[in-house]
Amino acid sequence: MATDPSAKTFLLLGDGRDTLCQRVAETCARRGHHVILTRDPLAAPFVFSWHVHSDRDADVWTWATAEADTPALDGVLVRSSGGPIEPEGWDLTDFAYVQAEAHAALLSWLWSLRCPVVNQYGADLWLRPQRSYPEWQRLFAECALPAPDVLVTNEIDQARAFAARTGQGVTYMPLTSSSRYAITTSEHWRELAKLLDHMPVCLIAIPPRSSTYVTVVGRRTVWDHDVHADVRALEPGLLRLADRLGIDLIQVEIALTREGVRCILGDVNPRVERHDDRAQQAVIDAIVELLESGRRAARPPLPPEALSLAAECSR
Amino acid sequence: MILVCGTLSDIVSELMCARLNALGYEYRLLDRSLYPDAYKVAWTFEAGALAGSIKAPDWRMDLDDISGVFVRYVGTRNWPGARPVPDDLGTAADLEQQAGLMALWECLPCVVANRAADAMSNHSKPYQSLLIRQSTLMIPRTLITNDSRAVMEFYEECRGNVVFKSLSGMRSIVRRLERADFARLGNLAHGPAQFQTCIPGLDVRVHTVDDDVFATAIRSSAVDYRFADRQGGTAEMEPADLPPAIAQACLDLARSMKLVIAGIDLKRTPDGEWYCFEVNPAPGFAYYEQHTGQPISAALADVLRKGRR
Repeated sequence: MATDPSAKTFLLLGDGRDTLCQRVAETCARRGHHVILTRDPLAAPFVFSWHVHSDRDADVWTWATAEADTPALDGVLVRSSGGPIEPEGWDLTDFAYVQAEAHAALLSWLWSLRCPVVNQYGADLWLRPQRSYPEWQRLFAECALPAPDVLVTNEIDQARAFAARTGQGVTYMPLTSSSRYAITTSEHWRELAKLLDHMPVCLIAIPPRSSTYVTVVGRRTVWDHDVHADVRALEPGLLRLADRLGIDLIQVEIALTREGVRCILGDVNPRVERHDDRAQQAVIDAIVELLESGRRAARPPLPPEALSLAAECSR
Repeated sequence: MILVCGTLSDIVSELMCARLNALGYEYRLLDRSLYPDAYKVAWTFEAGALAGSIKAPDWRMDLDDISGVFVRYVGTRNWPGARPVPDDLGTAADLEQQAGLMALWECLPCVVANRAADAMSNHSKPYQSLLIRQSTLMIPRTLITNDSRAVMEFYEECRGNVVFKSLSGMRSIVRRLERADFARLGNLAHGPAQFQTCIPGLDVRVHTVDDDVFATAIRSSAVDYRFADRQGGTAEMEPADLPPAIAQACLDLARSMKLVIAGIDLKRTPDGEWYCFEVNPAPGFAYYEQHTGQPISAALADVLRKGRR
């Protein structure tokens, strides 16, 4: 346990194999802080009890770790939603149940804490951290961020017409993953037609070429050093996006297209490896500073109407 | 024009369609058991604007013409008559179909009862409790723990009046904790469970529909009246009046969660206190409407037709 009075104790909810978690832990340790790194804090060997009452001030929680009975937490970084991850040894129904229960408990406990929690997701992001491209596009539109056009259809004629309209080829992006497939050859179109027999597909008007990433940490945006000035101009919209979602940490993939800069996808569980070395360290430092700040940065997600007002005020 | 997305084998979807017919409101049913085989969908999001259509064999609907959508999340199943899906696509096709509809409901600017995003709080009961206690409603004294000793102490403190229930949205029957259950408490090491003091009193289910409140009192001897027959009891229902402050708290709660329709489970104690257990974003209101005659589906039909919140 930390003995320096300025030293703090941070709970990092994540995996030691996660680069971001690992580097935040190293930076915290270098700054003299104590770190507890676990992805499942509410299961053995931890002993957890939380008494919840109508009066918040009457709540009591205890969380015994191997080292201390109930460490006073000064901040939490969320990179895991808890629960078992390996189904081995479980009946699959029991596994799904235990996992859902653990996720439900951890979400609520994090909202009961008074210390900074980075990233404090609302229920929707907690349970659906990955969302489909059209949903991201709606969010981007609400925040005045440009995004490529999208079509969702199960009609091959509509798909072909969309591709012809874009004039630059299309990319098939499944709604339940971030994989992408360029649709350029007649063989691609034949494969797409087979999918259309069984499900609608999502096509976006952009070739799947290289992108750059920006990470929003608190009120800062972190870019790679060689990023185009047009991309940096997105900063106000990106901050609005974080406000809209009520979170302090989000990464957005951005592409420079023939039509200009376009936001492709958001990731509420950013991968620091997507940045160059300097930006990686900037992200890590900014996260640690948020934890150290003692400020509870997370706030409820903003409704779209509040965002339009904010956008108008910032113009 | 109203769009209902569900199946006629679901009693709530069926009631909603019957009500819309009876009221003479124009609607279309997107039958999940026939989707996507029987439908052609095409919608775009271009320059921030949504446009497109849904076509069935006998109708076509422009997305612009939809005033409101009523959605039942009936899950993915092997519906009879559905076109066989190749093995390598099976689960993916189910998930993609579901995600495609969810994305559409999220993107439509009209009233949607209810969007999946707004329904997610129901997947964590204690998270909902934190939202509920910000209102004037009370929540039962609760213990969430993975510690068997803490459960036994809680049991003694509550003089044995303890129930246990799931923390998540996975449906479970609320059960009374008995001493005989102590032998199983070692399983808690895998993860926490939720225990609550048993609140005596009258069960009241409140349905909020936009600005309307419909309260139903349920007299039942069962711990969980929804399963009264399985628990050897009965459940009798009748319309009830709520104190204005409680009705307002229910409306505020549903609005704060952006739910067009909500089923709120309350209990009124003999001392006149009001406890809230849960806010259900996909309430099975047909059951209550059939037992009490309250016009819940008609109120929802009006909201969907007006198309505003």
